[in-house]
Amino acid sequence: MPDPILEIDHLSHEFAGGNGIHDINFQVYAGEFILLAGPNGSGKTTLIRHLNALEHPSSGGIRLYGRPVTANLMLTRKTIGMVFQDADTQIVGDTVAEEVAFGLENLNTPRAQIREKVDQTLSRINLSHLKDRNPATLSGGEKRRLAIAGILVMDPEIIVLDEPFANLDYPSSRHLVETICRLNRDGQTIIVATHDVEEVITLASRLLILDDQGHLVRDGFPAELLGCLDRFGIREPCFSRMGYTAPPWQT
Amino acid sequence: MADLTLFSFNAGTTALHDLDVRVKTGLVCMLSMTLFFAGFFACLICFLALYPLIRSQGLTLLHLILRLKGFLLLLIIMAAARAVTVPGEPVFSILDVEITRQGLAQGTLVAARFFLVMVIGMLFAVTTRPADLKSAAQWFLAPVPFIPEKRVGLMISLFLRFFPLILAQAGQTADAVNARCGSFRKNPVRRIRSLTLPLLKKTVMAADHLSLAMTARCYSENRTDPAFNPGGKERIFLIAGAGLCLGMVLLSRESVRMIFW
Amino acid sequence: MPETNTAVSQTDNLRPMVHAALFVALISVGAFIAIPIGPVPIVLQNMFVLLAGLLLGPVWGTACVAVYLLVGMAGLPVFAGGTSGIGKLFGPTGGYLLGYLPAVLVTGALSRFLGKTGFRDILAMIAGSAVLYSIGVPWLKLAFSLSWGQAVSMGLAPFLLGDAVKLAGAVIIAKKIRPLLKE
Ligand SMILES: Nc1ncnc2c1ncn2[C@@H]1O[C@H](COP(=O)(O)OP(=O)(O)O)[C@@H](O)[C@H]1O
Ligand SMILES: [Mg+2]
Repeated sequence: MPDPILEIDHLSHEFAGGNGIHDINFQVYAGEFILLAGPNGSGKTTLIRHLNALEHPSSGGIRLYGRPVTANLMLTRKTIGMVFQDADTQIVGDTVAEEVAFGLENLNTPRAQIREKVDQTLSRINLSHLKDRNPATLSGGEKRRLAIAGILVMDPEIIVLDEPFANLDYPSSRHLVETICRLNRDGQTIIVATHDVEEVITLASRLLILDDQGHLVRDGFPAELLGCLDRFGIREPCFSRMGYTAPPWQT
Repeated sequence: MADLTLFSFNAGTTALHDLDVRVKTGLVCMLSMTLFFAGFFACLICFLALYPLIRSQGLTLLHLILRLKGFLLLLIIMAAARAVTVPGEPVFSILDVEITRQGLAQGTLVAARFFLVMVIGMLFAVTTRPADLKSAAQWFLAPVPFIPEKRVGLMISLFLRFFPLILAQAGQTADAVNARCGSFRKNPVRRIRSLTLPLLKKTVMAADHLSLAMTARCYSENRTDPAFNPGGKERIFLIAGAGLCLGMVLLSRESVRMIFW
Repeated sequence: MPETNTAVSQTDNLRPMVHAALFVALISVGAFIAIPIGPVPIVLQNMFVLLAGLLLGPVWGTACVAVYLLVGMAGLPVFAGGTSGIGKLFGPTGGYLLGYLPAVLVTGALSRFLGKTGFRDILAMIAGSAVLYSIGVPWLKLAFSLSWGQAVSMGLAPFLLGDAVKLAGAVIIAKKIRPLLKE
């Protein structure tokens, strides 16, 4: 087995009142598509915000290629790109192209290189036709893909998405699933945090389950964990509830 | 709600739209400063020179007067005040108030200057993308010591993001308050509170979320400089603008003397 | 390792800067929000300026007002009634706009110096308003060649009642919003 990209080691984050996440351990390897599932309030958002050092742990730590994530924050955040849940309050630029360029401008990339990479990324994620639009006028699905483009442009090793399917209609969700899937097939490591696994469970290579107390209770192959999801407050996907076997698994 | 289209950007492809924003800003500053000591003829020449540009934006003198009517009223009052208070040879008098020739001349001149500065400002606003404005501000502030121009640039960007958001939310909050019969509330302090507090809470949370998202995207003050897109006619505009200012200064020497002595 | 759950930020002044930019927008929108009280509707703009002093402190408060004046001068429609430009800034009512700068500085500095209770907030805001009018009124007097009596009755007296209401509102708002800005 190759070395992991990320190692989460006895990570705990205690909020006042007993909430938080407790003693989390797992590793992330290149090329994985990890689904982090759990009911609302189980600590998914809290956990993934530790991955790029947006939050301090109460105890334990995270290593990126063997070094603590806090050692070089710029490098950590460039390597682990994060798409937040709320699509509207993560947009900085006032055109689509400027929004995508923001990350590269922060890295002080020369302007010509920025233009090239932005064009490349926009066409990769099917947003080229909206290049000069004001992001505020985009649809929910387009905003979500714009957010992905904004971090993809920085060539991250891992892309983390927090509840990417919340508040999307069916066609937008499908389009987003296809986009994520395509990135993963191209070798991109993906982590998706969600309370509803329906959309993506057949595509994921690994399923992590957080219970409502903030403990990591399962870590395994999605097909093997079907049937025990209800117990942890996660809705079984439709085919599993109806008693069918899983549709052909994609790996 | 006030009419926001008054001074706001109007997409287009006119020569003024294509002009490099730095040149445009420079010309606005140059002309405004020249106008502050311009005489009658200089003002007239300036207006004549600007008129084709005004027309190029699809505007006429009537449009200008209608758009600026509130400000024009202020200017007329200001001119009238001068006409009666500046001492000099009386032209005529109404109800014991003497209107002097010098006062009339000075009042009209001051009003004309302000009117022109206002027109120039409007032309600039109508033809300049807000994002370019941010780039220009950053570029001009760069050589000024002790001013962190990149931070100012980013603050302008963020402001441009928040402004429409807050304007829309202020409208929504007002509607919500009215729906709960808030408009019948007599106590004005509570009315301010019920209008402003939800707005502030919501937007502060959005702002915090935004700063977290920016941190996650490696926000840094050592960033790539903004890009500019010159349209190709910068030199012509600069020469024409400089010529106009020079002409105005030469003309003004005469008229300034005529008014004050 | 600290126990508090503060976000680790490499650039510690990002968050106050975003808040300051938010207040630039609030001050601008304040020119459009009017609340009908008595015969003259009151506009909330100067309340947001004073709040910027109380909530952001003297340095970021002043930066916030400076950026507001800059974008207004550069042509964005953020001055009263959706106007903008150098003409407005140096026009007859420009003193009230330029006066925001020392007003927010005084309010912010006093509030930092005195401490943050309702009563002290009021004191800081009264001082800030006094500074504002001490620039706005003489400016108006010069522009219209008025006597002092006329200038005060045109440029100060009509606003006092509305300002008292706004100060009372601002104290409540400052108390509720301060914890949100702290973390
Ligand atoms: N800043 C905070 N202070 C106190 N409690 C918090 C804070 N942030 C989150 N929590 C609590 O931690 C738990 C996990 O929250 P979160 O990570 O947002 O869950 P999820 O994303 O899975 O819905 C929740 O019970 C929430 O109320
Ligand atoms: Mg969450």
